Amino acid sequence: MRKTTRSRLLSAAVATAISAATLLAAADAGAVMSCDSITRLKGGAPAGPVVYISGGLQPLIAELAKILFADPTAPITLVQKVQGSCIGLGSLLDGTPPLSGVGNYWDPDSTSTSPTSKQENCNLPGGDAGAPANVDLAISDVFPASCRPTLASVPPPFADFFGPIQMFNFVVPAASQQQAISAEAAYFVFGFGSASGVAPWIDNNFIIRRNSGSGTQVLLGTAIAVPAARWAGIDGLSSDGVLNKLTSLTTAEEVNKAIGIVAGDYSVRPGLRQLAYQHYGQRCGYLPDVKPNDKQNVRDGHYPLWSPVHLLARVDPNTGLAVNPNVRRVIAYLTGVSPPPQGLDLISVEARQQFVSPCAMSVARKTEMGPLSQYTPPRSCKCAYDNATAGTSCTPCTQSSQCPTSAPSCNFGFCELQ
Amino acid sequence: MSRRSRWVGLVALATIALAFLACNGLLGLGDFAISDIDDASDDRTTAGGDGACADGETSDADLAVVCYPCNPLTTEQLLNACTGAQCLPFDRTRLTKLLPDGGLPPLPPDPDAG
Repeated sequence: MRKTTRSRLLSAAVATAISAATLLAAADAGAVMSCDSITRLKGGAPAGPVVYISGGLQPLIAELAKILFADPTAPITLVQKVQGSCIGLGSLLDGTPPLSGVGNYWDPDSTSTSPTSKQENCNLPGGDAGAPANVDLAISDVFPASCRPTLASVPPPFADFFGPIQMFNFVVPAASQQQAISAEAAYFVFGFGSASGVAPWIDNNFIIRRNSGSGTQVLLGTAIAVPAARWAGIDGLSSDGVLNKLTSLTTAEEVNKAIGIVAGDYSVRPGLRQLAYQHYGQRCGYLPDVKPNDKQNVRDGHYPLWSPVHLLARVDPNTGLAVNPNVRRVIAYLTGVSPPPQGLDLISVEARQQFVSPCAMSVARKTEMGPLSQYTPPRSCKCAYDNATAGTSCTPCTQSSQCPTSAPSCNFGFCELQ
Repeated sequence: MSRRSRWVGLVALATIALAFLACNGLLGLGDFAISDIDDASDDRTTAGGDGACADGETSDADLAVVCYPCNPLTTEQLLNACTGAQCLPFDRTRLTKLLPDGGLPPLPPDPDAG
């Protein structure tokens, strides 16, 4: 009996010690550093100056961030808080909401693999509601007017720079028999739900939408003339939610009557299939790609469901350039004006993530789903983009003197017309 | 008899050839090749005209029927420009709730509206 009591006491002591050790370990593991004082994982030296980013485009930001973090001459630390397009815009313009909570940054020496490779967390400095924002760069899928209808354009001292082109898609489960949708059909399906009259999309429970704050729903709603707040169907809650709902259906009947919306990167996920889209006034529908991943129909205007990613920052009214020189550099890389350091092939990265580099476009627009016009990029990368996707017959080059008169400009490794 | 038959045959052939040339010249039958829009098609087969325009030339092709063969400048022309890309038309007969004039009805009332 005495032995049993001693055993109990011993067990309790051991349990207490284990609990204390566990708590200490947990506290240590949860010790996230402040984003204002990030140090390198290897060596512990202070990282480069921080650029605070609010909004989306995280997979692309992650690739650029790793390179800039390790830039031996002028490192920059990109810290991002992933937020909806309109939330990011509000954080920049008037600090509502302020950037707070946990941010992400990318250290090449990190062993983290999820949700993006080399991703680490830090505590954002925060700020009182209504106080000046601490966002340096807001990234939005949609034009500012789509978030705040009273804004014809982003007000001074801010400016809107057009970054990579993002496509948006109507998608169905891969096993669906459906191949195409028109703007009129989408108007009925997403405007009327079960009463659409467009078989087989006549069951509200299998029409998977996002919400009125989603850039995808805002842009597609503008395209088909169904305001984002008026959509029928079920809220997928996130892109992953839409993907999961559409890919978890089991019967052929359910599969065939299901439809959803996603941005380009999700439209190529296993289990989903893009629908060809036929716009108002268009005589036929088109998929985004002609050859695998080439986005030819996006680039030439046949697939109109796209928008430039918007890079919004405080600018110098005299130069029109971002006030913060590090923000200026990030914008220059993402708009294709300057190549990123250390040979990062951002064109290939964008192509892999289903974006189109602005310099690979032949059409442009100035408002949400607004009129299309022909576009000649100041420094074309059409050959480089083709090379990164479906292949190119353009002449490779390292300098313009190697190029023929028909394509005299050596851009991004290939001879281009301009 | 044999010579007469040959003569009649030649006259018949010449008549048919002349009739075809006249129709083609008057109606431009050879200028259009409209695909079955229920099937996926290559847009080059539906070009209005020869699919080639001189610099600066425009076309008044009916873009509900054929693709735009010249240098596209407007949204409508860019959306419908002739291309080698495969196209997949949506069958408009599936739209069962169109108004009698073919237009779209207004959206249902907003349940959140006051």
